[in-house]
Amino acid sequence: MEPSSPALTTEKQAWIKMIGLAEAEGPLKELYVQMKTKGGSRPAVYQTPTGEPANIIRAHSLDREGLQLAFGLSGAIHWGPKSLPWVRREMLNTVTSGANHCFY
Amino acid sequence: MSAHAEFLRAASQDTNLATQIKTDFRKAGLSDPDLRMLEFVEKLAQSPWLVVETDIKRLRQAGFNDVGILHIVLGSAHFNYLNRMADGIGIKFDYKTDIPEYKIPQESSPLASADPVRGETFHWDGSTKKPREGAIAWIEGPAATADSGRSLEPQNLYRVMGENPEARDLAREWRCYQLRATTALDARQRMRIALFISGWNRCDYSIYWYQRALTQLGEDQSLLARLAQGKAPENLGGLDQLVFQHAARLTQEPWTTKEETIEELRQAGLDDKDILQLTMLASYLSFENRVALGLGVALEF
Repeated sequence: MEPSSPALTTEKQAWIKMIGLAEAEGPLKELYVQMKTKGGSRPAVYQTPTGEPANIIRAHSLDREGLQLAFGLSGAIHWGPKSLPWVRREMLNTVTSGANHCFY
Repeated sequence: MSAHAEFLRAASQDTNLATQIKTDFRKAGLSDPDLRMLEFVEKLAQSPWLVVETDIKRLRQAGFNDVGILHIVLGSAHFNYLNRMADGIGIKFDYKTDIPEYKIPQESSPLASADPVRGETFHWDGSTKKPREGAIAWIEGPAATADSGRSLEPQNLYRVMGENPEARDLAREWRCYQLRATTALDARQRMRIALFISGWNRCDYSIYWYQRALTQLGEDQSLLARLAQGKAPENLGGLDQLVFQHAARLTQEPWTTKEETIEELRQAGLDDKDILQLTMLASYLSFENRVALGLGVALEF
């Protein structure tokens, strides 16, 4: 089986407009930089091959405050001092996604 | 799912484990605690209204303490949000993986019947959802406190997150943000959608709070009763109908969302930011309802 690869950057990445790192300005750009800095202390596997914020993050880009809250909470749940161990977390995330038939 | 199976492979350094979890976790030869945790999160995702205190006791018997159980529920509930965002916005996969692709089963049915009675197999018994006297939930938290009844927002939903104060504070802020008026939907309309979804999910806790807030806004009681049963308002047309249809689909079968759905919303007058904010609201409710239902959060009164 051919490996699943990231969609080509020229391909439409979502059904609504998303703002990438290069075109982000002001508070959104600051938030992207902040998230990238924080992400730097996390395993490299979470970085996308293109270096862009992951599509699930960029999907929120038209609402910066909503983006900050949703992923701030995600970080507090998954990367806090009392969070579940990494392997267990990813088992949980994979099975929840499977139960919801979420391909991504 | 594809992304997190790849992250699991990286975390475990075990391709077989990641592949098996992606395919069928019950055949992955897991330890008892891991198997019970995954059975629990599957139930929380697919039929949160059926979670009972016995499910929490089973997690405890498997070795999880209450802090662990809190994080299982929060983590899974938040993924129910992310899954709906991914499918509702139609994002493309942007990682690289050689774990075999996930195929949505041909016969995948909605998470449950659209009928709020859930057909003959569903027997609703609210009494099984209550924690012991004086407790705020099925896990340990601060003792229930007498409430004056003047509070305008839920309290126990956040008290139960006391072992993770950062998550607690962000969850409270997130809820306030999701209920705030946006360009396309005023606060009343957003709360109607919140009540409709909570009604469909049979989340008595959230139903109470949205009914109360809407009552204070002077909302018609027959409409509230209808929404609290998970039924959309009658005689909707145009944009209002599309809005409720999108919210219902994201709640019940998010994987069936199609680009045409988004285009219809656009044709009816929403711009991309409006569509995003509607999708965020509906997806957010899948988080809130699952935290309340998964932990057996008790009403304050």
